Amino acid sequence: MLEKIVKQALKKGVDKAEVFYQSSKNFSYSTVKDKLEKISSSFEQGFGLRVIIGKKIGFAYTTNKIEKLVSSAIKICKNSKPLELKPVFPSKLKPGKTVFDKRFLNLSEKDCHETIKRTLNGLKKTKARPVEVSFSYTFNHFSIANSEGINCKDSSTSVILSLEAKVENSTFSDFQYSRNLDIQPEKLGEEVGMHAKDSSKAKMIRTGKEILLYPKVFSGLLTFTILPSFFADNVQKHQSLFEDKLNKKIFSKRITLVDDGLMHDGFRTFRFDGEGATPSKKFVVKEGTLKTFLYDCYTALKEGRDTTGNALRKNFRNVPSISHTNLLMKGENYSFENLVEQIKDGLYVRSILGAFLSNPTTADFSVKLDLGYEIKNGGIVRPVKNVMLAGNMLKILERPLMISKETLLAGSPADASTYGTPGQILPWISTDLIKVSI
Amino acid sequence: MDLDTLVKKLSEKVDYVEIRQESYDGNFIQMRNGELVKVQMPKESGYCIRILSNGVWGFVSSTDFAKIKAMAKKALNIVKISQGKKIEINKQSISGKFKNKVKIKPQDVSIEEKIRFVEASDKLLRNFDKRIKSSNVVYVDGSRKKNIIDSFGNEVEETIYRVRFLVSARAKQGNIIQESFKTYGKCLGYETIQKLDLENFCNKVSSEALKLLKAMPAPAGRFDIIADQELAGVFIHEAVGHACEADNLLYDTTILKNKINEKIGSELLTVIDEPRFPEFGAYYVDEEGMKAEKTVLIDQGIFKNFMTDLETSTKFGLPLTGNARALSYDNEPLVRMSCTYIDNGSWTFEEILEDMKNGIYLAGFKGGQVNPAEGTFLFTAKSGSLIKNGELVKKLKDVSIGGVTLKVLKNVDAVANDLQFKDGLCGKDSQNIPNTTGGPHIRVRNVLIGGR
Repeated sequence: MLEKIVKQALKKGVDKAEVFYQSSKNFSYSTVKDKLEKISSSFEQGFGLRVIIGKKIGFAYTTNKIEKLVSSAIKICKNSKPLELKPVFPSKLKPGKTVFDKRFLNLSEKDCHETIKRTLNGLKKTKARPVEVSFSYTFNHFSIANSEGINCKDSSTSVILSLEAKVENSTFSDFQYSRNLDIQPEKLGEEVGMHAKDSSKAKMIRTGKEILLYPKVFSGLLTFTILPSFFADNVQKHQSLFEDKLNKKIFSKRITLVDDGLMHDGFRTFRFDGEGATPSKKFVVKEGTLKTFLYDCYTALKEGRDTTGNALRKNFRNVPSISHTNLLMKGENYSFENLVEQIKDGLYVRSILGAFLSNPTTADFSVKLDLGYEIKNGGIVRPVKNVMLAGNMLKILERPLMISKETLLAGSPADASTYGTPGQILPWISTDLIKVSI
Repeated sequence: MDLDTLVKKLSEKVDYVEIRQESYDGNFIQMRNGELVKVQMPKESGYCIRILSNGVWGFVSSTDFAKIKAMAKKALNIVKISQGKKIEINKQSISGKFKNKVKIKPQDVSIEEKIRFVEASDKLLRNFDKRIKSSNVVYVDGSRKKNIIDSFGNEVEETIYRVRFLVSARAKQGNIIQESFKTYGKCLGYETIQKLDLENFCNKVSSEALKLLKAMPAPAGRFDIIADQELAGVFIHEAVGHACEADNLLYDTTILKNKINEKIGSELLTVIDEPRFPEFGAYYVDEEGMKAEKTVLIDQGIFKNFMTDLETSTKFGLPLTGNARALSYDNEPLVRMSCTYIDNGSWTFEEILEDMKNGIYLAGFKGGQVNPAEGTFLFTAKSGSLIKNGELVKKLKDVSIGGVTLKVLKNVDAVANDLQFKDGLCGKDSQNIPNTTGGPHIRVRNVLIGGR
C-alpha cells in the first residue's frame, strides 16, 4: 500500500516521496479515588506523505481520505518556499532494534484491574488517600517507504502507570513508564504515598544554597533550557547556545552525554528514525566537550555530512523533527546517600512546577518547589514546599558539585504513547548555583 | 445500521449513551526567519462512543467508521466489569444546529493568500531593527464540526470557525538574547485577519524584544504588584478557574470544596466563565451536547458556582453549566473553562499606579502551572517594571510570580475598569483546547516574586 502511494506521487511528477503509516491502539483504565470508573479503548490510523519537487517539500496527512492525499501534498509542496538545497530522504537503512513486549498481547481486563489494585495496596501502607490511578498501554505499528528504496516496518509497545495521592490538602503524583511490562505498582504506591504525607507537613522555609536535584527535576530543567541547543536546526538558525562551540568545552569535564538510538529496551529505541534513517549511538558531549549536534537528513545535507538518525516523528500527523533518542548522562561513583551526606545546609528538590517556562535562549529558569527536603549536616531534616528556585542551567553544568552513579529514566509522560518525551536517563546532581526565595 | 438505531440498542443495556462524530478541516502555516517551515492542511474525521453503566464510563474512539458496530460492542464489554451504583443522568432536551457567523470562511481563502500574510508578518518583524535576529510566525485556522446524539433522543450539531495568529521576535545584543511574543485568536472568519493592523501588531513585538535586552533581572522577594489585563486574566484562570472545575470534587482535589457562599477573596473580585463570541474559547454546545452557559464563579469575593458536566452536576446536585469539553473525537470530555475573566472594577489604571510608592508592574503572560488541590500556583510574566513613587521606572525580565491562591485573592485591593480578553490554549490531561482569559488591571499586595 505504501509503495503504491509513493509510485502514485512519482507518477504525478514529484522528484521524491515518503509515506509514513501508523496504526495505534490504546487501552486505558483510570480510577476516581479508589474505584475503577473510566475505561477507554481507542484506535486510530493514518498516513503522512512528504513529497519533494526541486527545492520544495510538502506534507499532508489523512486518517481515511487516501485518494486526496497525494494531490494535497503536491499542492502544499508547490506553495512552499524553496529551501536552500534540494532536500533528500535516506536511501540506505540498517534497522536498529525494536522493543515489543508480547506480554501486553495477553493482558486481560482483570490483569489491568489487578495492576491498579496493587498500586492501591502499596499506597494503603502509607495512609495517603488515592486521588487517581491510571494504567494505560499502547500498541503502535508503523511503516515507512520512500522513493529511494527504503521500506521498513516496526511495532512497539509502551505503558504508563500514574498515581496521584493526597494527605489532607496536599497532593503528590508520579509516574512509571516503560516499553516493557516492567512496572512496579506497589513501589509507586508506597513512594507517592510517602511524598504526599511529607507534602502535607511541608513548610515554606528558606534553606541553604546546596541544592540536590532529583533526576526527573533535572530532566525538566534540562529539556527546556539546554537540550534544544543540541538540535542542528536550531544551530543553523542561530538559535543555539552552542553555535561555534563544536569541539570546544561547554560543560565541566565531568559531564558526558550520550545519545543512543540503539539502547537495549530504551524508551526511544526504534528500528528506524522518523525519516527511515539508521539509528545510532554517539557522544553529544564527551568530558565537557561538545562532540556533535543532532541531525536529520536536511540539516546534515547543509553541512555535507550524514544524518545522525535524530529525526523523530510524534505520529502520522506530524513531520519528523530533530530530537534526542535515548539521552544518557554518565554518573560518577557516588550513591544518592553520599550526595546528601556532603550537603551541610541545603535542599533536596523532589518535584517542581513550571520547568516549561524556562528560557532556552539564555538557559535561565525560575520555578516553584512543589516538594523538597531540607538537608542539614548531611541528613534530611524536614519537608519544604512553595519556595521559588532560580538559576542558569549552563552555569550549573559548568560547575556541578556532585553527580550520582545511579540514574533514572526521566521526562514527562505526556504523549508517551507515541515517541513521547521520556527518553533521558539522568543521575542525581547537586549545585550551589540556585537561588532560593521565600 | 443508522446511529439512532445503534444508540437505542445500546441504551437498552446501559444507563446512558452518547455518540459524537467529528470532522476537522484546517490550515497551519509557520514561517521562521523567512523560511516556510510548515504548511499543513489537516483534514480528519472520527467518532467516539461514550457509555455509562453502573457508575463506570466506557469510552471507545476510532477513525474507522466502517467498524462502528464492533466498537459499540467493545464499549459494552469494557463496562461489564462494573459493579458500582447506577447514576441517573438528568439531561434536558436540546436539539438544534449551531454555527458561528463569519463573513469569510477560512477554507474559502487560498493557501497562497495565507502564506503571503505570514510572509508579510515575518518581514515586518525582522526589518524593524538589525538587532532582531530571528522571527517566528504561525497562522492557524480551522472549522470543527461535531454531531452528538444520545439516549435521551437529543441531537445537536455545531460548527465553529476559528482563526489564530502568533508572532515572536528574538533580539540579540552582545551575549544577551531576549524574546517577545503576541497572539491573536478569535471565533471569527478570515475577515478578522484582514482587518488586523499588521504593522502595529508586529512592531509592538519587535520593539518589546529590544526593550527586554536592556531589562534588569527581576528582584526576588515579596512585593506589591499591579498585573496587567493579560496577566490578571491568566492568574484568575490558573489560580481560581481550575479549582472551580467540578471534576475536582470527584477526586477531592480542589480548595473550594464545601466553600460555596463563602468569602474567598476581596469583595472587589467578580469572576465569570462565559463562552462569549467571538472570543477564542467560545462554543454553543459542549461535547455532551449541553448548552454553554454563563456562570458566575465568584461574586464580589464570594464563591458561588462550580463549572460542571453531566456527571458532576448529577452527583453533587449542582447546576449544569455546559462545561464538558474535549479536544477531539478521540478524547473524553472533561470539565473545562471557556472564557474566564475578572469583571470590571471602578479604578482607572492610572489611579492604581499613582497610588503606589514601591512595587512591581507585571505585564503579559508567558506560561503557568497550578496545583488545584493545594491551591498553589506559579506563572511567568512576559516582562515587568519597577514602580517607584507612582511611576514605571525600570524594565524587568524573567519575572515569576507564585503563591497560595486564597491568600492572593484576599490581597487584591484595586480592580480597574479596562477589561480586555486574550486568546490561549489550556492544557489538562494532555488536551490543549482553545480558551480565553480576561481581566482589567488589578493590584495585589505582598506577592512572592522569584528572581535572581
